[in-house]
Amino acid sequence: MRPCGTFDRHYSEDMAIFRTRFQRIALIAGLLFLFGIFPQVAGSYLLSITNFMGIYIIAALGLQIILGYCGLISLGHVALVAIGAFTTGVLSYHLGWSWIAILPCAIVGSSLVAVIFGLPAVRIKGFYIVLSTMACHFIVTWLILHGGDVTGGVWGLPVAAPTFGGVVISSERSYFLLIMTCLVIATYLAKNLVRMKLGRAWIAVRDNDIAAEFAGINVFQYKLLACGIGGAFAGVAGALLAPYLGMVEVGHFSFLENLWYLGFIIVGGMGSITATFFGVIFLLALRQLAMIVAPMLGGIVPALSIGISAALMEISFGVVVILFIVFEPRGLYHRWEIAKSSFRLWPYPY
Amino acid sequence: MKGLKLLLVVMVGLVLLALLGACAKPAAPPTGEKVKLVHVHLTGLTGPMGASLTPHAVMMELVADHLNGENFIPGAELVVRTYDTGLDPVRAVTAFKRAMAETPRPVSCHIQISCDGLACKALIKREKIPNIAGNANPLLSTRGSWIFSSEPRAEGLLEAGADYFINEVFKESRAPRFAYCVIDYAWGRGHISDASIRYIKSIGFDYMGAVYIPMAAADTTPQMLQLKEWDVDAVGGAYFQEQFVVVRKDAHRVGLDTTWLASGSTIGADMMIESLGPLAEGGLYFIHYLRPDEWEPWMHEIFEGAGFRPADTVTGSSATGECMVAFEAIRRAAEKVGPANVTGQDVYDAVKTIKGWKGYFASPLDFSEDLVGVSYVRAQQVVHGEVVVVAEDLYVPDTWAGGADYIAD
Repeated sequence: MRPCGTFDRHYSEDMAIFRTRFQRIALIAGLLFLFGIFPQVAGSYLLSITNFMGIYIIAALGLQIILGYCGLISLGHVALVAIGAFTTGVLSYHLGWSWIAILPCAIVGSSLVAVIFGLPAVRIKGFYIVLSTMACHFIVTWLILHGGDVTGGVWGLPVAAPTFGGVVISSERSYFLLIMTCLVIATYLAKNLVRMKLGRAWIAVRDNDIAAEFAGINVFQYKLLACGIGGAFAGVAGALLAPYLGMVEVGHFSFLENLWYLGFIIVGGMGSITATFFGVIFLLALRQLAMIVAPMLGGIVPALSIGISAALMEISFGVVVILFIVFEPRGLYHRWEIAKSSFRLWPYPY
Repeated sequence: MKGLKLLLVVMVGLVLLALLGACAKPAAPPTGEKVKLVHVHLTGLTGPMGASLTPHAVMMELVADHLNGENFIPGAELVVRTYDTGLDPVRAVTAFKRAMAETPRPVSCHIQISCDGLACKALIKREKIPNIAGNANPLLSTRGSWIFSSEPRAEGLLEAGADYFINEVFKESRAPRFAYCVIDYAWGRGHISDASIRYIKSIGFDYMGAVYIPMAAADTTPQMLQLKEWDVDAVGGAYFQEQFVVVRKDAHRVGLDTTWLASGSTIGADMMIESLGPLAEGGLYFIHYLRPDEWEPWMHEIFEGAGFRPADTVTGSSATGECMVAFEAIRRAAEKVGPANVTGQDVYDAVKTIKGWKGYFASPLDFSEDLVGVSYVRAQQVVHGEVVVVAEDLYVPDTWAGGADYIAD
């Protein structure tokens, strides 16, 4: 939404993501803070949380495209991240490839698997595509588990740290810079994808696929494109997760993780790239809060210590998702837009 | 509408608090207070193993409280900080990092789940915080790692059982048939390897294969039918109590008649008697924990006072045994350098001095040469509704690559 009084005189202005001077200054300041100030002042623990957030956001951007823009409910997104991670692990451990060479392979691998399991979308949708994506998860994890020496079986594979021209990415700070660079590029790509004809076609398919078909949109083709591009984002996330953890094994990619990804989209808001950030940051911060609060509560009331720490995270996730579905189905991003508009119009109510 | 806005503002505020909490450093304790020596415990309180691991975690905290009451480490108190990983290695990594960021800094840790231990292996070494736990698999306790195990090698445990079975139990002239039946998880599958299969064959078994039990086991009929089809004489198994109960009941239902050789690290024979009744007869459990009649009085007091199921004695034994190794190492480190100066390196060095120390296990521990401190187990059997120790000091073969009992391809 543009501030009142902002008029476009050129196509470039019409297409600009950051249209006003204030937005451009905020962008530059934000990037300076993200790459310059934050990694210097933040401690190792905070950096590790933001690193995980960055990886999850990249993966969730893929799911936002698949679900939020194209309307395909997916419970197999974690499997696509696993494909990216294990591609990284296999190529790194067995062939000694550098991370830069591995990255495109991880992207292509995840994308390909996503397209394969998106093929049923030609005939099915809704609940049935959910089952198809669940099958993706179970098949992929079974193959990884039974991959023998290639995937390391149940124990997984160690993954070497990325190196760029002799510089080894091993500290939290260096991983932060790498992950945030990938995140900025991924966000830029995702934002522009959804503003193109591609994005408009996805929205049309999501809102009414039959009407979209009548309007001349090849629904199957665009669904497959959504799956493929969403899978590509998941591949990038997997390629970052593997070296960051230092190893990759199938236990990282449990089926329950898919529910967290769905939660990111529900809480953040569907159909918006920015909403993905809100959802991931909110829920992962909530997870950390549960981890911090549980031992504190246990210290105050010892009888509750173990029970609380066992239950708090799962209970809070479930409660938050339900509250959002019931009271704010459009997610945090919608609230943010309302708040922004209110401040712009203040002191006027409309 | 206003209520909704308030709710959302509160929730966003909580999130900001969380992020601030991540940066906050607690104030230093006033002088004169006992030094807190923190032992971090990462475990799966939620998930399919939660029922077994939650009382285990509670017992560890109670043991620490008891020892503090006894002034176990003069001038210091032991603090067990428990984090739930939910069997998710990513959560384990963040929990570990969170624990490292807390004050006071931990001096040791206990990562209960193998996958979590693998994910944190590099961090453990980087942070120089020894992991003193009960998981023993080849990828964890490698040379140079900081991961000690107070359990025997998982891979050799069932082979010890197989040795006992073929030498003491099986009386027929033919080669007995052996199969594995383990939970479909890293810890379960870690009991099986090519080397362990070669060992089984080398001692005279016909190896039939392996079946895998899902973590949330509700029905294991297909697996039991497979074992029945193989007509196995002995089944080497690694599961938690929840799964083993289902396995035994389904085995009885399909008419599978075999000898169950179970890793007793996670299954209590007493619990099986309570859960299975007559079906528990004959099962062999290979375990290195103490029997309740070997417990010290304070262990009974804690166990009974905490309200655990009386039959869940393996929780009392395993939790006490495992955490006492860490606490003994911390005590030795505090004795050497002073409680206020204990670091992870000091605890690591102290663990290496543990040799011939029986602790709270059936056989003495020795970490001087190896990161796996236990090489012997005892065999327990359910006989007429009672748990009987039928053999002591059964050697656990070292079938890891390069080990004394490793058989090359």
